[in-house]
Amino acid sequence: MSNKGLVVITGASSGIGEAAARSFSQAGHPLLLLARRLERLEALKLPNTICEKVDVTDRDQIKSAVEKAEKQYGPVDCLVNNAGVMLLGQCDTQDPKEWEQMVQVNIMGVLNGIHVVLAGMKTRRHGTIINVSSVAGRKTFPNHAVYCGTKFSVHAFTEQIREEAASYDVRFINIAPGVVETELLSHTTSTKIVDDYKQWKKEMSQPLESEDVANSIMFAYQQPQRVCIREIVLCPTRQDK
Amino acid sequence: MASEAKSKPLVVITGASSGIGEACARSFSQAGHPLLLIARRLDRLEALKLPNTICSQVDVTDRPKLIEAIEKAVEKYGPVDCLVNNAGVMLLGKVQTQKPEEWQRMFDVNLMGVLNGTHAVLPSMIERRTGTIVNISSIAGRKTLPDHAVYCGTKFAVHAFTEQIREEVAQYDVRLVNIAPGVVETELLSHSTDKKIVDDYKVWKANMGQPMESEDISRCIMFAYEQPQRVCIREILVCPTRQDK
Repeated sequence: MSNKGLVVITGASSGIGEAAARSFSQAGHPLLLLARRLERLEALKLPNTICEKVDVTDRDQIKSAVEKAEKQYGPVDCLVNNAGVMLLGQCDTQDPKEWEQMVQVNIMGVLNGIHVVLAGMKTRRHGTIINVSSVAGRKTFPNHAVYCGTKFSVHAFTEQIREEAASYDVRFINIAPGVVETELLSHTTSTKIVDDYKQWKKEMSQPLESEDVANSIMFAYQQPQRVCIREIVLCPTRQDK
Repeated sequence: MASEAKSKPLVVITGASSGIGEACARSFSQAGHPLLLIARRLDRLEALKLPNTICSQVDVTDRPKLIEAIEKAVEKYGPVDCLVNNAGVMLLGKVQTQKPEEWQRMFDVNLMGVLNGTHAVLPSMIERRTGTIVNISSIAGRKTLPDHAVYCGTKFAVHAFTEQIREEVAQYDVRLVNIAPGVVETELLSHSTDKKIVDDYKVWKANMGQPMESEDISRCIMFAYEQPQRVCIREILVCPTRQDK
């Protein structure tokens, strides 16, 4: 039985979430993995791990899953709000439903996770919440207008909640990656925009790997609890913007 | 032993005579790098007694002297792989009562000093298509803080020009990194001339329980530097957990 704290990871079915799951598991943590694709979570076959089919836009689903995991593994030490969706487009032609989806997942999904765990962390005066934002939460990019809106929002509320939780020894961390080789691009519906993005990616020669981002997540988490790495921005060296 | 030193490349650190610069010097030395240490207090640099290290008495606002020191080190240890622009000064005050000379000093050291170092090493890094420049900025380069008005002005400037330079040299595989610490236990506060402001700062610090140590920052610097060259950690913001602002 591990003496390491329970770590909850959303969007753990691929990409950065999956890499984070492997890293935390390697470091000996029991895990609660949340995603819509349960079979992908279970296929990771990680020890001391509960896999739950959860959509982060459903706060009650998150709450039930966390309660179940805490019964078995004790209180949540770290929540990684990783689930997110990137739907690129030009605002005059993009389907507004895509904006709604990004707002629901990237903003509400993150806030839902925080809402479920923060009170407990403040009571225990201990805990870490890691929000996987994006460099698009710091700068604006072509075709990323509403995605940037959601990520700037994550940066803003993360920082304010962090200020309010600081006196309770609870840490908030924004991880802001640039281009990473994951499924993220595959949900954009405009073929031309996807092609342009792929061209941009090629010029960088090498995007980041999910493991590069997981390394930064682990580095931040594993600092002594008295040290809060508030933000790490990491990108391929050749990513200009 | 010169041949051993050549296996790890040269690292230049300004303001290495105390605090974060000193901690960095120890970390890079531990990792096997030859060093050029720059500061005004030569005795402090030499007292570190680090191997394969050149100590140079230089004020970073003196561009010719800085260039000369770097050229001398490059002759001995090869090209600069990493420059840590750490030298900086924090002079807190209320703008209506603070001596304008204090603002000038902060602009000279925190802005020009960083640009002087950058100017000295960047052409070679671009030509060699490799290299890393680490700028020690501050959380005050991202947020404004009481009594820090002009200090914030200098650090916001560092953040801004670091990011633009980074964009321009990205295609040459050169990395620029902003390290932005909150309150660290160093000499930095000791130069502020307003006693009430210093006392208020100390109260703020005491409320945090524990400020950071210089080693907490050098650990972040090493983490960023030691990423594969294809990964650029553009920024790390790191503060005591209980630092609210």
